[in-house]
Amino acid sequence: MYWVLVKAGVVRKKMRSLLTILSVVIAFFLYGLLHSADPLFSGAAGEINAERMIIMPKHDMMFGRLPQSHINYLESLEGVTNIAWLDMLSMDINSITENIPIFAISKDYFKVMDRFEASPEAKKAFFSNKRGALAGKTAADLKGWKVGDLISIPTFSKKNDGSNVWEFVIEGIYTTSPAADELGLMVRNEYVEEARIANKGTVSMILFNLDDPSKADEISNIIDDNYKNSAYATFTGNEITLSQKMLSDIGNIKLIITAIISAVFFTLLLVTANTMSQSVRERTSDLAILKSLGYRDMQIFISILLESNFIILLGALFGLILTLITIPFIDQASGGLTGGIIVFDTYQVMKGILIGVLMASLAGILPAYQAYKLKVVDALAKG
Amino acid sequence: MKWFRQVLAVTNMNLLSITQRFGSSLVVIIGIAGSVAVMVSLLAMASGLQSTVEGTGEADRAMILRSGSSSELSSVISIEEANVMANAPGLRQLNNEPMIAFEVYTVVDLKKKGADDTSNLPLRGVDAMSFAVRPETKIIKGRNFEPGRAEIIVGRGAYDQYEGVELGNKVTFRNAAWTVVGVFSTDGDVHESEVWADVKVAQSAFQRGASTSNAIARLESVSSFDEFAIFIENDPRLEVKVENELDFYKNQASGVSGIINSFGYLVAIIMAIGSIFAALNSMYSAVSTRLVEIGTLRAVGFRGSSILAALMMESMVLALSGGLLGAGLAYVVFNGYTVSTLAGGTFSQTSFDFAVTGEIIMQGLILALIVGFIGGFLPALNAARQNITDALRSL
Repeated sequence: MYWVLVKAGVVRKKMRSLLTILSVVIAFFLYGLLHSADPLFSGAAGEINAERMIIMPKHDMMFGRLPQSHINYLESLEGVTNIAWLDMLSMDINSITENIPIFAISKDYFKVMDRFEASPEAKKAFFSNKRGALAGKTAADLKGWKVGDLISIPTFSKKNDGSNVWEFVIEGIYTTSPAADELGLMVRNEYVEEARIANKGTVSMILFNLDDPSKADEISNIIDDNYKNSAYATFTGNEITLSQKMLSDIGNIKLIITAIISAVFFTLLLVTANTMSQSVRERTSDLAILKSLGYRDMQIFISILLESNFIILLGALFGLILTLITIPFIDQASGGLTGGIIVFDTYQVMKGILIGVLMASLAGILPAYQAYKLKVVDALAKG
Repeated sequence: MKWFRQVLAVTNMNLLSITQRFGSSLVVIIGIAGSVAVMVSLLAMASGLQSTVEGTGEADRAMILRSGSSSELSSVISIEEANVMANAPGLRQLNNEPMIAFEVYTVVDLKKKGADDTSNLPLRGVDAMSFAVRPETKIIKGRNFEPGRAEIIVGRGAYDQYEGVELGNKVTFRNAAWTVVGVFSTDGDVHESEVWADVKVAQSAFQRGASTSNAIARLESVSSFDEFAIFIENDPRLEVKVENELDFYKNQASGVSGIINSFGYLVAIIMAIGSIFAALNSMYSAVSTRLVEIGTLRAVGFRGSSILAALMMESMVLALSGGLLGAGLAYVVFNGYTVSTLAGGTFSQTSFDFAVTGEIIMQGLILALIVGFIGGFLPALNAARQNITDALRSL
């Protein structure tokens, strides 16, 4: 019964309903796009979790150094299981897709950072060739690197021979989640350490696992306290806390996004409320006739609310679908930089729908109440 | 002439009757105001960051970094190299001393006001020559540091953003305590986000020995740059590269502000499309409630084209008021609002002010007018083409 009323209300002025639905589509499209960047700001994209621990130079996370003696100290700590380290040979934030970051990794890297994967053959070939390299899948696709290719790459580290161009042989491909981390090239730390002039005996960061993840905070504090007064002070945390720390330095992006979404939804609320009250105003005599035919006030009230819900939810549905369609294009346009980081999951969809119902009810309640209060005699007299 | 008078008459009538359609007109205005406000704020943020970073530097100054270093942070210059560079041709002289300053650049951490955790900010070890090379530097509060003492002066931007940098306070960087003695300004460029200390004290506090990070040189004139650069880059004793100071900061600015810019345009355009639908809706209903009036006007001789123009005027006026409201809101809330972010390749904080410039406001108003134009055109065309008899009959 309600469906007949809702349908009649929606198709009464097709153009107006269509335009309202379209503005709802746009609002939810924007909602979806902005929220799909959430994993980026919470630091918890893909398989990044709180179980892999990282030690970074406290004062300069990007370019600072840690001496290898920090590794020896870490080995002496109880509860630490696997240890690996890496060195950045090339890292240019402004042009990651052109200058692929190069990481020199130690032997146990794949054990500690178990979200990085490569086939056993690839790993074997890599670890048996001094100048071997494993290319991230995205990087390999982007640069056209294939297994067996000999590549020369300029870096910011100088070799013994005075040149800063390093040569590596691609021995395999690695994959990981989030896919954004596939934009990289892994090379052997032993080789880099042996062949470079500067920074010998230091690493960029140290990675480790714990036998009991609940000890993470305790162990982090022990390490950081130990080096508190050292020239090589540390910042220890898990993958999530570290990316959060780096993101908080960029600024309060989450606040900006929330502000934008609020502005969008506020406007949407106005548009829909306006449409609904207009349509109720125009329908005064129709509603009065319905009432005189025996429809109860409550039924009219509910049908107006349902109509507003129908319009918003239909728009929300299309808007969210549009987001889902768009995200792969963003990944493509960014050259893989956002791979697995920009995601739109069911939680966001459910939240979006809930917000939709809330907005629709807010927008529809006043017109619905007007219709509810409508006196048949007055309305028919006016009409 | 007659046509214009017709347009004016109808426009006037339409605008006067806006109060009767107050609700739906307000929706158009607020919808457009929202998109314009978002766009203007984001663009103002990008332009503020860009003008702060790009505004750093002079054409007659040169930055010298270790070759292969993209930022001052990863650069090292030894004392031997410094001595060679001091004799390079093309350097301006001040009291028979070459105007080249060798500085230590590192990052230290302080808490931003209201933050739970510390953020990185650059510390620059400078000497008297640094001030001579950058004559725009002025102490605006307190006094300069005294050579040889663990004292710092804080840039104006950093002074506003960080906790505990009041004059006379002590701050601790890597175990050493420093006393804040002054605040300096450098005409709003990136150095205002830095902390400056005596270079000798910084070398010992940060274990730099006798080496420094980078050099900044003031040249005899803009045209001496080539002479200077050729000497420096060809001398076998030097492992450094020379860059014009303006170019150096321009390269650092491009990344982050470019991202904010494209984000701003993207969001604003999507929001504007939404506002177009709202405007269309509102104009359609504005037209449909006035069918009889429009029919009457046509019947007494008003031309369809003047009705069209007048309705377009109405929609554009609404859009423009929305645009002005949005831009004004963004201006009042954000102009001069200071924030800081990571900029360039240094991974330390640069603070900057949002700059709501005339150009950005123009862009916002143009967006509003586009929305008004598209939103008004179809409904107006419909109304102007309406058959007179049909329109009158709808009474």
